[in-house]
This record gives sequence, structure tokens and C-alpha cells, in this order.
Amino acid sequence: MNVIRVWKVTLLALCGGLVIVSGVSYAGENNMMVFHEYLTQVGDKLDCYFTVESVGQTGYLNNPILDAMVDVDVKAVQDLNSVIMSLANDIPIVWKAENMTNRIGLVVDKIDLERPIVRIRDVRLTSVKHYALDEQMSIEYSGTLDGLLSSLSSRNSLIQRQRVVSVGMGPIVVDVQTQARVAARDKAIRDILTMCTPISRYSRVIWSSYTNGKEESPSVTIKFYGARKK
Amino acid sequence: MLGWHGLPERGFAWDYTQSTNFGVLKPGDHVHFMVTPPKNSEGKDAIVTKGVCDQPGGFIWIGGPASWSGTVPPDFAAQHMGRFSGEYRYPGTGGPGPYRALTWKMDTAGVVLKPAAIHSPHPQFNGNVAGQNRALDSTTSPSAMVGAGNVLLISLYITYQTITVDDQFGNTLNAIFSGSPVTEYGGVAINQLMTAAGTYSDPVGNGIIAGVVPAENPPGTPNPVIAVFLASPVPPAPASTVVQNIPVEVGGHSLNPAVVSRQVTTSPPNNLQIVWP
Repeated sequence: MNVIRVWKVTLLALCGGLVIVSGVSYAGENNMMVFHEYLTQVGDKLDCYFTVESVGQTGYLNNPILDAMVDVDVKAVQDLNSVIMSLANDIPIVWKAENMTNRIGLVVDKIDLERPIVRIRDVRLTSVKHYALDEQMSIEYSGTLDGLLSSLSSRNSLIQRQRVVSVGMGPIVVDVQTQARVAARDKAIRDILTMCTPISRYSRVIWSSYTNGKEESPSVTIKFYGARKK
Repeated sequence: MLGWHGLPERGFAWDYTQSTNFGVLKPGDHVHFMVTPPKNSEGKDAIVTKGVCDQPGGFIWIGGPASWSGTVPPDFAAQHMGRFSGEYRYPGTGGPGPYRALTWKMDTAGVVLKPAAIHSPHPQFNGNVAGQNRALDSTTSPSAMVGAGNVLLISLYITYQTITVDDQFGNTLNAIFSGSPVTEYGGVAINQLMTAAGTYSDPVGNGIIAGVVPAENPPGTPNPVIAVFLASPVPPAPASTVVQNIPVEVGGHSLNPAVVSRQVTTSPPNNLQIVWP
């Protein structure tokens, strides 16, 4: 354990304040934080936003990246580039659930729209065949974000709205309030999801997704998080 | 020779000492005390002429010389030990003459508690639960964020776990926190309050979303769709598992650890299992 501690501290110094470790092993330690909450605090601090794409596990409702526990020091966060570096430089999220342990590598990049949006993806998604969020689509839509998901789902059956939800993890959110307007031609579905959302006062994690774990043509459950709640 | 407060040296004997114990406090609380030296032999009330805070004990103080008000800072949670001192006199004394100012000392004490962690061992659950169709919104527990004027129609397989919260000393949270709101994810309301027993009720389980509908339709009249849904058969519980890692705050204070590795599994037709190491 002491060796691990030294390793963690070294990474902390090198990587701008982010060390991601097991959500189970170090549960009681002081800096442990749910990754979703970490992104929210970083977003508040740096005025930026995030999207998160995960590989899920059949039968599980988790987004293994967002729901993981991380060992972090938000106060040490100085700038967005260092955050992106820390996320991208082979620092794994370790997700443990029952009989499964996954060290999750991340692919991270940034796009600049109204504000910077950091896109976080499970590296395994790059090798998934027929991954729905990579698919291109042309769509004209005006309505709520939940309605947009319905529309996308009707055009691509691999896209799913969240129907079964966990109770006890904060409020259950279905974004039937935020209005979106989309006129996209041959755009990746991931980009449609991001670009159609008016981010002012929106949750720092704009949307997230998780697959059903299949390596080919997995279904993808997408969730928008609604207006900021505080 | 001059000593304390420029007075003639007279050792450490105070003319008047007073102490007060504020008891158990929480961050943000306000306290107050007044120095009240006794009447003199002629029955005249003392006049406190000087007062200083020698040792604030972590609190923020305003006032003086006799009357002081303190505030417990939001981030202070520890034993409080304060000290104040000053001078007083009686009518007809003071000014030119051979009078010596009388001295007073006040000691204050208290303990500031804060919610610190979810108590372990954690509650477990394994059994059948009655599925229920519910209409949820931002005021219910469980709560739903589905836009003002709307309700979420959902079939729930849940139980309400009684969660005990400890203070920073590892004791069950004091009753002074009764009524403090419980929030998650950095301040999002879950519509639960702390009880006097240091516990709160936490809905845990899984649900199947049926839809979001206006609460009223037409305006001013309950949406009849809701009643139909509530009376309809509840579908079987989903075969789903979730591992819950949840940041929890009580009265704005983050708990550490909060909810970590709570595994929730529902399976048809109506079983719920909660394993929380």
C-alpha cells in the first residue's frame, strides 16, 4: 500500500492533480470523489463542459467512467490543458463491479464551441464495429432533448433512451425542458448530441452514454443531464 | 510598574471572572454572551468600560466591551475555547482620583460538530418488495427533474434504507442537525431531512420509466393519464444491477465516505437485493 501511495503522489504532481484509482479499494480515503462530481467541479472552476462515452456491462445500469471513484484534488486543477493531459496520459479508471474489474483507458479531446467541451471516451470504443455514435446522420429537428433522443432512436435502433434507471443516485433526470434545434447533414451522432445542446446554464456533463458491452453493433444508452441544479 | 492593560501590576488575580459553555453547536450557528460583574456593596451596577477578545477560539466575534456576538464559521468544526478580558467600574468611581480599574475575564467553551461520514456497518437488504407505480417530480422522494409542471411516471422497486450519519468524532450525528437537508452530487436535493436520531431515509432500488406527462391537463385539473397509470398493473422488476457511488451532503457538509460500492440488484418478478460492504 505504501508503494501505491508514493506512485499516486508522483502522478498527482505530474498530472495536474488527477489520479484515478479503484472505486472500491480506497473508498474511505479523503480525496475519493465520484468522477461525475469531479467533472462538475472542474467545469465550474474552468467554465467548461464534458461529454462521456463508456463501455457498459450487460445487465448493469452504470456508466463505468462517470460512476467511478477517483482520487483527486480539484484545488490543484489550474487549467484545462493539464486536465486533458491528465485524463489522456494512460491514467486508468478502475471500475469494479461484482466479478469484473476494468482498467479503463480514455481518449480525450476538446472542441471549442460557445465554451470548451471536453470529450471523454473509453478507448475500447475505438475498436468497436458499428458504434452508433460514430455513425453519420442527417437530421432536422426542433423540440426537447428527450424528443431528440426519440427521433435519433427511431432512425437508428442502436440508440436508446434510458428506460430502466437506478433509484437513489440523485434525482431521476429526463430532459423534456431544454429546447434543441438541429439542422445537420452527414454529422456524427455524437456531434449532433453535443452541438444541439444550448450549454449556457446546462449541466457540466452535458450528456453521457454507455453501451451494452458488445464489441460489434452495441446498443448505446444516452442520457442528458438537464439544467444545472445549483 | 504597569502590567496587564496598562494597569498597575497586581499579579494574576482578576476582580471578576465569568465563564459560559455554549454546548453543542453546528457551523453557522450564532452565540452571544454578556459580561455581568456583580453589583457593588452600594447596590450599584457595574459599568464595563473595556473589553477585548484575547482568544477567539475559531469563532468570528463582534461587539464589546460587555456584549459579544459570535458566529461559527462554515468550515469550523472542533472544540471551541475562547477568552475575553477587560475592565469595569462602578458609578462614582473612575476619573481623577485614587481609583483602580477593576478587571474581568470571560472564558467561553463549546464544541462544534459537523456531519462527517455515513456510519458503517451499512444496512443490507434482500427480499421481495411491492412494485409501485408512482408519479414523481422535484418535490417527491425519490425525486425527478422533468421540468416544471410535469411528472415522471415510473414503476419502482425500492426500499427506504435508514442511513446513519456520524460526526467528525465518529459519534452518531447530534439532534441539533435534525431537519438539515440531505443532498447529493454537490447540493442536489433528494427531499430528505435528517432526523433527531442522526439518520435519514434513502430510497434505493431500480425503476422503469413509463413517460413524462403534464401534471395538469387541462390546466387546473389533474391529468387523468396519471390516475390511469397509478392504477395500472406494475410490470415485473427489471433484471438490472447498479453499483452506486454517490456523493452525499448533509446541511452542505460533504460526507466522506458517503455511499460507496452499494450494489443494487432487482430481478423479476419483485426481488430487490442491496449489498453494501
